[in-house]
Amino acid sequence: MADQDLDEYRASHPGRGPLFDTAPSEPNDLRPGESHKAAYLRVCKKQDAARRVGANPTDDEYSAVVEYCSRLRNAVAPRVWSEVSAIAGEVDGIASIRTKNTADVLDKVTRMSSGTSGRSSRAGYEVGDVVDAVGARVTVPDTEALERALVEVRSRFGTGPQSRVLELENMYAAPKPHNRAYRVVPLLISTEADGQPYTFELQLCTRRASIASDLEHNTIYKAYVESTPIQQTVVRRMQAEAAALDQQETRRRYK
Amino acid sequence: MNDFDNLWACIVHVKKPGGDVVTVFVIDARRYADDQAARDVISEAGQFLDDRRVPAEFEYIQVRRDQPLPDLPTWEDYQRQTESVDGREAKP
Repeated sequence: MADQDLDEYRASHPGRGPLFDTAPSEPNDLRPGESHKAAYLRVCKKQDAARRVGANPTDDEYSAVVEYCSRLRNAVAPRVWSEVSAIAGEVDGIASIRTKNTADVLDKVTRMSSGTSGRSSRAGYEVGDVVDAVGARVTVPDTEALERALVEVRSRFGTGPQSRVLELENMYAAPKPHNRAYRVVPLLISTEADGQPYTFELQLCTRRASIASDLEHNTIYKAYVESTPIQQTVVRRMQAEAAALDQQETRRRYK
Repeated sequence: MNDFDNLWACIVHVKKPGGDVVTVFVIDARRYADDQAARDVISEAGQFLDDRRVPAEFEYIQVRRDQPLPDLPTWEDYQRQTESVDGREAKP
């Protein structure tokens, strides 16, 4: 990037190929006024009382969420593991998944309901709104494999209104306003276990973007690791350079 | 986590009051007779943390047959140490 910042670099050296095409809208919008995700979550909540539990649960509600999270861990996670491992195997990637337990899900419900620094509160936030209670990541060697991963995901989960892809964001095509260097393709995927509907978040990312985003996440966004302002500047610069390198890679492949 | 292999591990992270996240133990599926035996242990660990209302994340990673894992306590070590501190035995 030399002396340019990332936005200047993006403008002067635009990325090429499918990652930089505008993110498709068809998995996100089921019909005017209702997203595919919102419609699916409404059905999930209707069928499962545990997912209608909000902040400050009663003891009975807590027990219902314990049982729900046990389903996530024992029934949903193995299915997700099987699916994302298969995707990873097709694209030279590495799969990982994580599941939140009861107290962690309810902690998120409480934080989202009351609002946290920089975010307004979301009244009525419920357990069923924690769509990343099961999260998966497929980390691939480079942007060429990332493009293949996206094709593989579309092939497995479909496209259009019947697709299992409830939501797709492409941060190569459209960087996040609050972190313009964060490069990942997060998707929300529907799944079923024992006849019940669930969701999981799937992140597709390159190895360099994964390392850069983990560093930023753990030192700045969540600050699990203490860092000085100078160290934070270095981390942000590394993340921007990782984004620029991914972009440069696509420019070499698509002349 | 399927019926055909046990080349995975589950690393458990707990969230401390105040928000710090600490990695506390690992369940290495390769140590168990089969996939289901390892999943049973995860279920037991999940119940243990739920009983204590400890916020936690269970992270599953792929491992090679000979891949070393981070030097972390096993589930059995963590369970023993936690019970010795809080004085609560596992439910029968």
